[in-house]
Amino acid sequence: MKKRGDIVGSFFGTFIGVAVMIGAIRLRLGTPSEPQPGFFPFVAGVILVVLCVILLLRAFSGRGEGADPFGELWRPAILAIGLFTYSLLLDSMGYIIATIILSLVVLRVLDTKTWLKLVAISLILSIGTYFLFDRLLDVPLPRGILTGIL
Amino acid sequence: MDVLGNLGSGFAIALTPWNLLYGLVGVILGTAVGVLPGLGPPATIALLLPVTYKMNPVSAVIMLGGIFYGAMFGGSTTSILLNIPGEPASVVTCLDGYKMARQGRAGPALGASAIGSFFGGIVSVILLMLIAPALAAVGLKFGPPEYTSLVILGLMMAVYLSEESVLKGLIMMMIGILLGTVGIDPAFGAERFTFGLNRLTGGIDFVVVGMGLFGIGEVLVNLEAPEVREIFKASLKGVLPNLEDWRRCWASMIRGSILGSLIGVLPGGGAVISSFVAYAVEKRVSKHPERFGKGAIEGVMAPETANNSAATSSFIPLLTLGIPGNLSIAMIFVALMIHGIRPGPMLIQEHPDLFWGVIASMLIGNALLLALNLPLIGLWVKLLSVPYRYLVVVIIVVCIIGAYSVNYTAFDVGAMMVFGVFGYLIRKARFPAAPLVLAMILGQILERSMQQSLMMAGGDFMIFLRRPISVVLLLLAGLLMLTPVARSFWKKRRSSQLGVTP
Repeated sequence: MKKRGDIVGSFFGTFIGVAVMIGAIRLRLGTPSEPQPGFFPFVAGVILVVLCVILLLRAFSGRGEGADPFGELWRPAILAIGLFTYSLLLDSMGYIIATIILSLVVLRVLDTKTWLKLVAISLILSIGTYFLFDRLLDVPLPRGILTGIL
Repeated sequence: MDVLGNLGSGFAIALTPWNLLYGLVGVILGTAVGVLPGLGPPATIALLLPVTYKMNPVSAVIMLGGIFYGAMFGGSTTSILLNIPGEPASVVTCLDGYKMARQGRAGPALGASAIGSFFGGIVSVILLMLIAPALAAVGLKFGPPEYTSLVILGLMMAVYLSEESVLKGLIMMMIGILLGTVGIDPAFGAERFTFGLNRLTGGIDFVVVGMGLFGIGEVLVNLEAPEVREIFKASLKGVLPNLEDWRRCWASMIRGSILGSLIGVLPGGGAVISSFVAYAVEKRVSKHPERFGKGAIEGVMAPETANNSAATSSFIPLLTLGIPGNLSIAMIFVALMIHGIRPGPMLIQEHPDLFWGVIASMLIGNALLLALNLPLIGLWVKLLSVPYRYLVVVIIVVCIIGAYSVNYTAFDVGAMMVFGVFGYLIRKARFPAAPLVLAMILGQILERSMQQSLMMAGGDFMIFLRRPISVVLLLLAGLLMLTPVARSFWKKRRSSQLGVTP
């Protein structure tokens, strides 16, 4: 369905816009000469809703812009979930361990056949970037479990 | 002459061993990210932002700027040899560049793009040197109403030039503006849309959003169907174009550099657009337009010259008006802010060492790039044999470190992932991502200057229409929104020429 992207998009935008308007009213709007914190977001929210309604109307009148179909979803899904889990575990596990696991998963998903390659690349990448950034470039990365060793 | 004296002191700064080293690191990294598809200059600049915290601001901009224009040199390599753009500004180079490679003329194609990039870069630096001080003087006369209108024009430009429909661009722009309002409000110190989360009081970081939308979003799209790439085994005997080539394309080089310089100055313009326009113009003025798409060297020379000119000249609005026109420049804007330098009309006067040092470094950097990309081109070609799946892991790790190091919290990595999924979805629904990210920064400037103007005028919106410069800027912005016809024409040409969306 060609219009689906437009319809979902405009509902999403309308939702954001209305939520912002409600939030902005709570922050108080003030008047144009003495605007309060809610003034600018409120105006922006209104414009967003208007634009989304136009998009919706266009979509229903058959002038949708079209959307690309989804391909195989499992690979992007694994990366998204993996990365989210990564962000939750980063501090406790530490950069090196978390990154080794994440890159093992990603490389496996992308069809790296030999285990040797898989493990070698993950190790080199995570340990290498850790030392490059944490030690050489002064960008501290979390040490996690390896705190005592590093 | 004053300019020469200033340039001399600029060279004194740029030629110090450390600055020379930072410049060299910048252009080498830039060429590398240009060559490697999937990792764009903005993501790389974001990765290196925290590294620059401890540098002095001049060195920081020298290095980050080098990444940006270095990528313009490198991008063509991938386009020519693989038929895949190394970065978005080299999309059109695929058309004739790859054809030339198939005809066994990869060498001259690579040579033409390196020489063109060099020439375009130099022309643009000279332009920057000559017009920036004058433009800054104009900028000094700007009050809040003029700034408001200028930012609106910049936003409209970004929407107009983005690859999807104007309506969708506007929606993305408004979402970007709203994302920019999260956190402490600049005028009153009130918390806005933080949902009581401490993490959000500092605002949502533009770097995190940019990396999510562009870095991770792109990876997610590519993961749906990992492509199999074939490296074109080209013989690289002789990278210099021959006399016949030169006869054909010397004028393209000059046209490309002029077009690129001009388009780069426009807010919302930049390297990507300039390469498309330059290609279209070449085809239009050519006596043999039928040769285009079949390996015409003009079709390589013009866009490659233009994109490097535009990359350089897009520093002009940043350094003179404090308005970042594209993503990479917005990242450099952030870097300056971190160093306590507010880009604007006063910058050249207050920090002449920064302005002239960066200009001198660009001249040096372009010369270094010519050396890196002509004699050493073979090395970069080797880089292309890295399989995509390894590249994916590298891109992910780059994004992780970049997002993490903004505030040193894992929270930002999670936030980046959320924006990555958002980026994936809007790509599927064909909403453009660039206006959103740019609006996050421009929206904050807009709010401040709009509030100041309204307070000045006692709440009268007519103030924007009473000041001549402001009216002109708003009229231009309005005109852009009212010319969808010209735009759709241009878009159709573009997609029919390419058969791909950039």
